[in-house]
Order: sequence, then C-alpha cells, then structure tokens
Amino acid sequence: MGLQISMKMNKKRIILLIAAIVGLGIVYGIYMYFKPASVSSTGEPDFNINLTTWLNDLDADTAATSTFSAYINKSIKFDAYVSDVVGDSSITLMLSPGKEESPIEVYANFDASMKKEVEAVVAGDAVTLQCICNGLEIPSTDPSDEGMALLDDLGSKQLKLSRCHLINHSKKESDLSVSREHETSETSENNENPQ
Amino acid sequence: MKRAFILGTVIFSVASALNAQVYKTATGNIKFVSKTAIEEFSANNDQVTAAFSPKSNAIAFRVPVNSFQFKSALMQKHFQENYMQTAEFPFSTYSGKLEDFAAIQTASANFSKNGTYDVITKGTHEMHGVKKDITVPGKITVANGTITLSATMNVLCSDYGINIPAASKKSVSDNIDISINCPLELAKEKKKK
Repeated sequence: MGLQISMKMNKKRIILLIAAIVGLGIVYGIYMYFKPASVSSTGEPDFNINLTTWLNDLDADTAATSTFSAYINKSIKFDAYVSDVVGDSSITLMLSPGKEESPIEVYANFDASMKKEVEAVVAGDAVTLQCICNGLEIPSTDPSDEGMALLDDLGSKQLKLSRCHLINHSKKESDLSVSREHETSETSENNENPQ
Repeated sequence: MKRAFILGTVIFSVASALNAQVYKTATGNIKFVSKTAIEEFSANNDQVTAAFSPKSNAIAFRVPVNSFQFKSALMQKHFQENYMQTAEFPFSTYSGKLEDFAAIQTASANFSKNGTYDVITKGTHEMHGVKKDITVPGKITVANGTITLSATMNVLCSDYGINIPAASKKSVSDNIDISINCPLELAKEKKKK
C-alpha cells in the first residue's frame, strides 16, 4: 500500500517536472520570437581592429572576397576619422583611417533610431566605433558589365558596416581652436566692457 | 562665323562633359515585405550602392544583404543564416539599362529638367547566387541636380533557390514585395588606381 502511494507520488513529480520543462521551453520560445533585433553593436567586439593596417591588408589581398567572409556579421571596434556625413532617414559616416585618402571607402551606417547619437558628428572629427561588418564590395572583373563598372568607381573597394555604435567622439582640432579663440575674445570683451 | 563655331564647340564640350557624369549613392534604401494570411513582416536596408550613367544608359544596384534590419532578432538570424546564407552570398546585385532611353532623355532634357518620368529597366538580377533576367517598371525623379531612382517589384524566393521550410510556409511568403528608393548625386572625380 505504502509502495503504491510512493509510486503515484513519483509519477506526479515526474509529470510536474516535464510540464515545468515544457512550460519553460514555451516561455523561452515566445521570448526569443519577440526579442527585438539589435540596432547597434554593443558588448565585447569580435575584433579590435587597427583600421589603417586592416584596410591596407584588404586592399592588397587579391583573395579578399573569400578572406573577408570571416568578418561578415561579426562586430569590429576601431578608431577612424570622419571624411563625410551622408544619409537622410539614417546617418552614414564615411570614414578614413587617417587624414589622408583611404585605400578603401568605408561606410558606417547608424540605425534611424540612433540618429541623436551621431547628430553632432561632422567631417574631420575623430571617432571610435563598434559596428557589424556587412560586406566588402570588390570591383567587378567583367569589362562587358557596364552597370557594375559604374558602381566600382575606378577600382575602389567599399567596406559596408552597419548597426554602428559611437563609443567615443572628439571634435576636429580646427573646431576646438575656433571655440578657444571665441572664448578668449569673449573674455577680453567682458574685461573691456564689464556689465 | 568663327565665333559661332568656337561657341558651338564650347557648348558641345560642356554638354558632353555633363553627359559623361555618373550619378551615384552608397546610402540608397530598399525595403521588403513578406505577407501571408497569418503574418506580415518587413526589413529595411539603407546601404544600397546605386549608380546611373546618362551617357551609357547603364544602371546598377548592389545591396549588402546583411544590412537588412528586422524588428525581430530571430527573424534576422534566420534570414541571414538559413534563407539568404549571407556568409556565402553577401550581396544582391542588379545591372541593366533603361528602355526607351532616347525618349526619356528628350523629355527630361538630358536629365536636367525637374520632373518625374516613368521608365522601364531590363537587366540581370543576381541574388543568393542565382542570376535572372528581369524587367522592372519604375520612376526617375529629377529635382535640382539630384536624380532619384524608385521602383516597386516582386520576387519569388523559389526563383532564386531560397528554400522556405514547410513549417514556415504559412508565415513566410514566397512572393516578396520590394520597394526601392535611391537618390543619386553626381559622383566626385577620383584618381584612377
């Protein structure tokens, strides 16, 4: 009799345990289904990149199309200079590793919801970004394809990054010196004309 | 007579130079929508590279497929890894020409007169490693030096070897609605490599 009761209770516990596991699985599935996609890359990056070295290596690499697949959909963190700010509904920064022209055009896109994060960035500023790599556009080798030849703009490769996150931003030196001059002139004006 | 000849040569040279310009963007927009009886979802991409040459009548687009942004993280992951296999096929491209190019050129005064012009483009679309010849109606809008290419079209996933699992067929449509909007500007001169 005692054994029968004990077996019934064990059965109950097992059923409850299975129901709990299934319930947790359903809850997890619903959570994953409705979990919003990330619009910017945060957390630990997959790669910490020196942009100058990386772009030079990619530019020199004749097998870049296959080499670059290791970076697709991975996050990279790097320093760069902003050469231009483009876009309308969402902002894209055109970047270069230094003040000189870049061997590869770099486009770093911010989601429309991140517009406020980058609205103060202008050409000439220095930035630290973390972005997701989407692709390296390599010029087509088919001379008969006029359309592709148009895109490839005299042989430039283009690096496309998205879901970018602005980690650090410093204004260009000329802006800083202008603001310092402005502060100095304001101070001297106030000294001459005290209110 | 001599003055008229020189003036004519100068005007012709300027017109030829303008005609030789290429209009480009690296931040064009493409959006797609999948609609079934039980589910509708969409994704947006602001990293389309597009170019148009009024001289050669060549038009082209290159879309980094990984740049499509979904609302749902799970859908984005499945799209990239299972449907489009973006590690293997990171880009979708289109290369073609405008039909009735001469008529559009005249109507738009060589793409300098503000207005919206109905166009048809024929060319090759490559996606997921599959090439297809397609014909797409669209519009070219000229406004103060900017040319905007816009179009809506449908693609069938099955035409491009994109397999929708049986379990997902009720929520993912084989027929995808695509809308394209790419404002182009005159490309800057670059040094040849």
